[in-house]
Amino acid sequence: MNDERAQLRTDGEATGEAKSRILGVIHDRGVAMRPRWHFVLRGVLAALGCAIMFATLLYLASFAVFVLRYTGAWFVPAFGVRGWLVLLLSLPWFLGIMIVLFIVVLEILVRRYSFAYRRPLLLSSAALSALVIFGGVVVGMTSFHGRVSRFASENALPGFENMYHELESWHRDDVHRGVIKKMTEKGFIFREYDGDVLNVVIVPKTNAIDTDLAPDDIVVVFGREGRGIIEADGVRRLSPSDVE
Amino acid sequence: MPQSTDEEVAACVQRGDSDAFGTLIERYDEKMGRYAHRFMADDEDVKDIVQELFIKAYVNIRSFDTSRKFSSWLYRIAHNEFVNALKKKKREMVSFVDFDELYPGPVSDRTADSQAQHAELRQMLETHLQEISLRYREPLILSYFDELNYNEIADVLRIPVSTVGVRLKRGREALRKVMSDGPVKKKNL
Repeated sequence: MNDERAQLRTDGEATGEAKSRILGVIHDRGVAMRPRWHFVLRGVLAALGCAIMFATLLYLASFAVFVLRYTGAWFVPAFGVRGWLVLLLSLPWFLGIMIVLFIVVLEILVRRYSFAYRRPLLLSSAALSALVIFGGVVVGMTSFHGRVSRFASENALPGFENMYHELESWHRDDVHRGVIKKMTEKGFIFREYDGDVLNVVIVPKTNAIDTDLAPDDIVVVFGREGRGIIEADGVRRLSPSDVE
Repeated sequence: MPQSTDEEVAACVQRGDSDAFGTLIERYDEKMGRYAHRFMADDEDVKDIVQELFIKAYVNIRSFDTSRKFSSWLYRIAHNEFVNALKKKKREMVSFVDFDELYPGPVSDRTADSQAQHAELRQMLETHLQEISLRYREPLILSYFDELNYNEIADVLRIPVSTVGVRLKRGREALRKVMSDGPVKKKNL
């Protein structure tokens, strides 16, 4: 039936007539083609929006890695399943939620490009998330956030200063990072990065990944603290680049 | 410009030859009219909307990349125009959330259609098209009436290529269901 209607229309109005009618409307209304720069500008702005969103995501993801490295939680998976559990529980969930929201926005922005919309949403979102996580880990392993933190505190950058100064709030009771001050008969005395001095006791159950510890070594100690003493579940030496 | 390709003609229009746009109108007016008729019944509505889509194409023609296919670009504009017109008329629910796009299931194998099956499905579509939801109707129209391939349909509808296959498969199933059961609610199809 629709084809019959279409046929009627085709019969009633020849294509040539449609052409003159439409061109007539274009001329009468003074319809003009948009200049190429208009589309180039739109394309550049859209690409810029995607780039800014991706950079923001990289910043947030790498900051999450920086927080985990700062508190020491990043290093505890070396102590086994419980270590992995602690890492999961230490994840800054607020940052995680923000990252998910930003990924959704970025996915909406890139859906205008054929490389994104031609693939299933789940696949392109997973690829985007993997890229953000990988990029976040790479950037988080560098000294980038350490330098931003120093710059923010020296120049009192609003927002950033608080962000980096409040790292302490992410600290967990069972993960401690600091420097060995003195070796003792049962373990060592060490100073945490926040200034607390703790007595670490090595017991048979301690998973000491590094045994040849010495003063000035930077270590992460896994274990709950009580009255200034930690009966260590695990001890691991860190390299200076780990805590840069 | 009878021997020039659509893309060559479009390049002429981009350079300022607005009369060359007439060649594109001649080539696509009938196709766009037919495409519009699948969405709306009223001849005047169809005439107006086809006119508007050509004007929109003219205004935006400098955004067209001449290394790509002109027909896909024009069908994309037509799709947007028709969907917007339907939304305005509130005759059809146009869904924004589609689980087929999230992770499509098994994909239809178009090449498996024999010539006879193809002709039969076209015939079935002619009669029962309006009884199928827009989600499945549009890929069927683009595939069976306008002979667009999966990639071209994906570009027009901005959906994953595998989703095109899924929708065609489900569209055909819906069509067969309509044929055997009679008209049912569109949302169930």
